[in-house]
Amino acid sequence: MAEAAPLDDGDLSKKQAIALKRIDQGEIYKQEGNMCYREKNYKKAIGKYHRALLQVKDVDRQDGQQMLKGMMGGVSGVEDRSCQLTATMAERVKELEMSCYNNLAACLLHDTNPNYERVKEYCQNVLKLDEQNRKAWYRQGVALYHLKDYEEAQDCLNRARKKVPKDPDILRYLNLCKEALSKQLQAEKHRYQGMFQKMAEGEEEVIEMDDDK
Amino acid sequence: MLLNNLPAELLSKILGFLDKEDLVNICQVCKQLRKICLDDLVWRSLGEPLANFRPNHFRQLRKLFHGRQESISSKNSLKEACRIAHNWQSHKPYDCTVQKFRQKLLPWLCFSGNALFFSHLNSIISSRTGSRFRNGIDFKHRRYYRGHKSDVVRFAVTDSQIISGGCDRQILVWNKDSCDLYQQIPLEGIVTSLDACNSTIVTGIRERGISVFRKNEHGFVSSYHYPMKDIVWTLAVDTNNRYFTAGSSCCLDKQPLKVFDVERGDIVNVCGKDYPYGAGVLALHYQDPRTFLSCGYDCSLNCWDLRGSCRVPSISFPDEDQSFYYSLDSDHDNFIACGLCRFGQIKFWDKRHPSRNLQSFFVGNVGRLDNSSPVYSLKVTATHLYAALSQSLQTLDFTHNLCYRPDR
Amino acid sequence: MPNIKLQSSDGEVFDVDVDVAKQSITIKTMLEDLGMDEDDDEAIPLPNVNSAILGKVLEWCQFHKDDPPPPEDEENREKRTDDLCGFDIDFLKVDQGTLFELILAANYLDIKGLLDASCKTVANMIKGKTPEEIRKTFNIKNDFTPAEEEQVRKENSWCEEK
Repeated sequence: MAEAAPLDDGDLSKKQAIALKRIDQGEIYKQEGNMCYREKNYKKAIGKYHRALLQVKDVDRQDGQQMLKGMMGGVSGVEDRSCQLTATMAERVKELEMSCYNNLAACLLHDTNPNYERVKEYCQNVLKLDEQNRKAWYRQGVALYHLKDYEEAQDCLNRARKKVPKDPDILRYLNLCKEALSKQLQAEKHRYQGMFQKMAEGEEEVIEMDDDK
Repeated sequence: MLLNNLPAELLSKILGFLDKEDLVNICQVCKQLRKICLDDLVWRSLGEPLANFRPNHFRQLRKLFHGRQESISSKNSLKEACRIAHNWQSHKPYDCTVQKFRQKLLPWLCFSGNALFFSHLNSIISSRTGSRFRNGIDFKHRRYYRGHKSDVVRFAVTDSQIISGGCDRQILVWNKDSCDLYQQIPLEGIVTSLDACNSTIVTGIRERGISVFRKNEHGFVSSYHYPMKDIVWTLAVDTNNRYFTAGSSCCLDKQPLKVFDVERGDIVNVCGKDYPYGAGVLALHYQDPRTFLSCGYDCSLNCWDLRGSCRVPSISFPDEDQSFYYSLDSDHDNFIACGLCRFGQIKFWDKRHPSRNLQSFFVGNVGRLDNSSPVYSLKVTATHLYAALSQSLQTLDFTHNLCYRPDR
Repeated sequence: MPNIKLQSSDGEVFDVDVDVAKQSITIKTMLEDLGMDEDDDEAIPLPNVNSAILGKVLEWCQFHKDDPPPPEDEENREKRTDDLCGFDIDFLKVDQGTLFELILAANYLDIKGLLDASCKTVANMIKGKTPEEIRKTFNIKNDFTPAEEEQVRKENSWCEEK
């Protein structure tokens, strides 16, 4: 609700209570989403995860708030809509966001015609919060494979492999990437072969390749 | 709800719509808003046009636009960059004489790794630069590279060495850090031009032509010689050490601009055509391995692209004043600075808008210095311009905030 | 036309045309992920926006629903503030509290057009005013000493030059 009256310390905990309720609700949605996922009801799961994210989005204004707090230093009596989260609450928000984005990526991959760009975007959101998240690296690799960016895909898959080197899914996709890359190379060779053949037959002028960076 | 309860990023967005005149006012409203004004987001759209002007930091500023680096209230903030760019754009440097010469000289300048190198009579002097020094140059701790018996004509600074050619018919090579003489190369004549990179020296010798020296484990050894009909006033080796360009005086040889292959020593390109008599080339500068700039007595600045035929310049910068250009430098991107033949005049050009120069102004008019001098050599960095005149060395400092700074 | 249910923080449910709701990138992304299924008609709670503000936001979206999507390239966008359409100018003639709430809501729901329009409106309220006038307009307290204020002005006086 839009608060009209200036707030004092007693009200601060009131705002924290509101934030807490939202975080709780977010986690409920996430659990419901997980249930739907287990029942293979992916569309419903997606809806739940999005609702969860909406609960915790902007629940704090930590970034801006820190700046404002630092600067205002002493000048009070001004109304303050934002809320200082406790460390636990902030941690819960972060965990929630990571799970939801990861699970959204997983749901999308189950689609008959997945939106791989969106999968990539959600994985990147997770990685912004946790650079080491194995699932996010793996799913990003899968998405990149399907987007035909085989080298980047290999990069991501290898990063996922660091923690579980023998994971069969990761290995399978790495293989797929390798095959795809070698096919690409063959196709290129074939194309250029044709070009050189033509040159040998004197059809085209020799064009020197630019070798500088 | 009040304005200053909005989160900082939204406040920055709002302030980003303001002109700088309004930003001055916003900064004075309260401490919080002043802090927000330091945020790079606020300066993004203001910075764009200014960034195009500021030499050497164009790409870095682009990165800031994309990457939103947190750099609030730091010297590297976008606001600072805008302010410095504003100084460049409105020609507001702090023009300072850092060195006076007792007699008239033809000094040469180089700038490398934050140190300024300049030639003075028969030695080369290097001084560190930085805002912590008075006038931006460290006078207390200088390095001297001595050994020439008469005037230094030209020199080059490589990763570890200083290589210079003098009127005493020799090339000297020093170790950059220790100032120890590494090698002496006797020549058959006076040096008229010189350039070098880590493994090659090319030098023009009066009445002899061009000599090229390559480095092996023993030092620089003579590689080959190319006779030239005219005096070679300027030489430049490209950054990849594949080609070098020679500019000569266009008297007996009507093709004053030639590009050579460093290894083989043959001409790979002859640039330009229909040169009038005397339209000699005085300065050359490689922007990248395939592009170089030339200027001289033909009263114009030209850009040449080696990937093409070079019969005509890829970009021509016509000068309505018809003055001779003596020196040249660029930020290896779109910004070019030229030193002219009189009155310490300098012109700025933008490669994207060759029809009119960006600015034209005069340096060295401080005090009662003789200001009829050409600008023999100049160097630009992101924040300074260094110019060598016949009787002084000038630094133009674009980082100042003259309105704010206490008097120097 | 398919509909979607949006629920404000104070419990009110708004039945909205999908085309209108899709002005919000947040909602649009969700709908794309769902493949346009309405998910059993379950409402989407928006805990950051109260009913009054949500109502206004949806009014804006309704008017602008046939607008072409805004250009992606933000860097090259000119920084004009005088290009607001008549509807927006009138629409944003509200008290400051509401205006700032609209900014926050547009940010939360990722509605670029509304965010830009409302930010520009605030910017217009700042333009051309002296610091004291700005303080009066927004009820901001001056926490500078006169000496500090003068120093800030000097520090930034280069901005005043052409």
